[in-house]
Amino acid sequence: MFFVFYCGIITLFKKRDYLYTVFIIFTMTEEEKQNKNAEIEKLIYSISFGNTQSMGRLYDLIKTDVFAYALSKMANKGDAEDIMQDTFVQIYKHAKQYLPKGKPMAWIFTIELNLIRRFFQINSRTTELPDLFENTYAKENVEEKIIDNLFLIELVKNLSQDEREIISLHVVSNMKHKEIAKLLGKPLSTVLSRYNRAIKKLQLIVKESKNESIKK
Amino acid sequence: MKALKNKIIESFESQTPDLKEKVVLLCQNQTQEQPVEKKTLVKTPKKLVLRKMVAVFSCLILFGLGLFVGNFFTLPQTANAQRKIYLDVNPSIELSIDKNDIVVSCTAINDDAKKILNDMNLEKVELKTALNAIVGSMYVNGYLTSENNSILISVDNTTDDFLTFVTTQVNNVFKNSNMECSIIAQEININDDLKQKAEEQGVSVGKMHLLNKIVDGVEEISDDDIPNLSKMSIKDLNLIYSKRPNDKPDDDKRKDEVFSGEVNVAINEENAIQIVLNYMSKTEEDFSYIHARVLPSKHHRENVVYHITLTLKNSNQTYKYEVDCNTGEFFEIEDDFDGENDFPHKPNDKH
Repeated sequence: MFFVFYCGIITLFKKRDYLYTVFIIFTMTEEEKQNKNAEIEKLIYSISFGNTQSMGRLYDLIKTDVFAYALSKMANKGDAEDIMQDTFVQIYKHAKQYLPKGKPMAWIFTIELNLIRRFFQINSRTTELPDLFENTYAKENVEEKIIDNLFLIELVKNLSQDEREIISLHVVSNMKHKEIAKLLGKPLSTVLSRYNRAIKKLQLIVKESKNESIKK
Repeated sequence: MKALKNKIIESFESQTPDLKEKVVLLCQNQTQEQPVEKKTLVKTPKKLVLRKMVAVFSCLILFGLGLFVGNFFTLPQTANAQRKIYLDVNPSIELSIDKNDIVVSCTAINDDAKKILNDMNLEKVELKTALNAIVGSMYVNGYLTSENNSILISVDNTTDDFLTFVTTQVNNVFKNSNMECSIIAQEININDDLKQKAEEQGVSVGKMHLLNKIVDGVEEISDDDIPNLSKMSIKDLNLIYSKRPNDKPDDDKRKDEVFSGEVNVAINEENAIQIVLNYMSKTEEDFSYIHARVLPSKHHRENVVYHITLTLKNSNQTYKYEVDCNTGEFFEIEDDFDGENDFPHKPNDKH
């Protein structure tokens, strides 16, 4: 009896991280569940103990944000996937270094941005700079090579890299313009003007696509 | 707009790959990095020492700057002193005031003045208030009485209006009392010569200036009399100066001085003449010439007397007497009396 109890305690101790994750998810209030950032912070804290279950949950929660940002910068689905994967691995590796400040997405995007810069640094020796890189794809058959979503293809084709970046951070990740300006190290006015310009371009794309569909 | 945003989100969501299993698998093979210690994160010790040094130097510079600024704002106060006012009764006080008539400094020149000022801090006080306080304190401490009611006010670098203003302010102190002050307000030009003379005689520059004016204005008094005159009270000097013969018309009178009030003396001029006449058992009609002058006594050098000269109608014989202004004591003096070797006859001895 004592032995069984002892084994149970040991098992529970070994699975403490998993239990902790289950505990924090179940003890999370409705308000906290709505607060995405609070949930992400708790998951990062759980990941810092090596909990891969929490890693899976974090992936589900922020996969679109991470991918959209990578795609907006890379303009290439394959490269964006690589960056996305590396970003999650880096989050896992450096989870212990995260200091909760209520803005986990800024930390995650910083990791991602560093990976993207490193990618371009490595590729700049053999290939061209990001804008040119983007243009090469724009000239080629984007539909076949990169993305199979028509609207996304138009978005990548018509928006500059900076515009795409701001659109993804603001629309997909729901970041404030002020936070974006801080993350990218650009003036708030620049961020705002680029965002407005990008939205106008996208509205035009939608309008044109509607007209074409009517003609057809 | 909302539709557009939803379209963007949906587009990205539709393209997001499912790498969950791959990511989890990769993470299981990774080792987590330990949090970087703050010490190594923040600064290296060398940089910290440098920062500390910079901070210390900055503090020193700020301290020095503070001292400089402090001096800058305090020094001009004395530099801004536009005028100096000397108040003499027996206590002698020096006031420095700025262009707004605010007292910059207040100095006691002698021991009596220290008693008057006591613990009064008159710096940054309006001149009007300071004068009230000083003159009031002189009155309370018994330096200004109905018998000794003279004040000498000396101002350098001034105008007639200011002299009148100062005189009025001092008079205002006694506005509600029966006492009236006799004030001489004079303009002085402080120079090294005046300062040196004042130091030699142990008097204030204001009193020294008055002594010079007495020597200039009274024939019978010369520079040799200054040591004796300097020992006299302001009241006696005021009496000598105010009663000096002045043959100049009113228009030509000095504009650098303002007089106010009468000097209170125990024996006035008429009384002094009457004392002599009584003593001689004569009347005014018996004399063809009767003249009284206020001068320092020839034998009691520090006293002020009426120097009375009388000439008999019949014989043209001239008599000269000294009647003490304060006590009424009198002496007959001879023409050749020089005040040193020969002593005048006391009337009681002679007659």
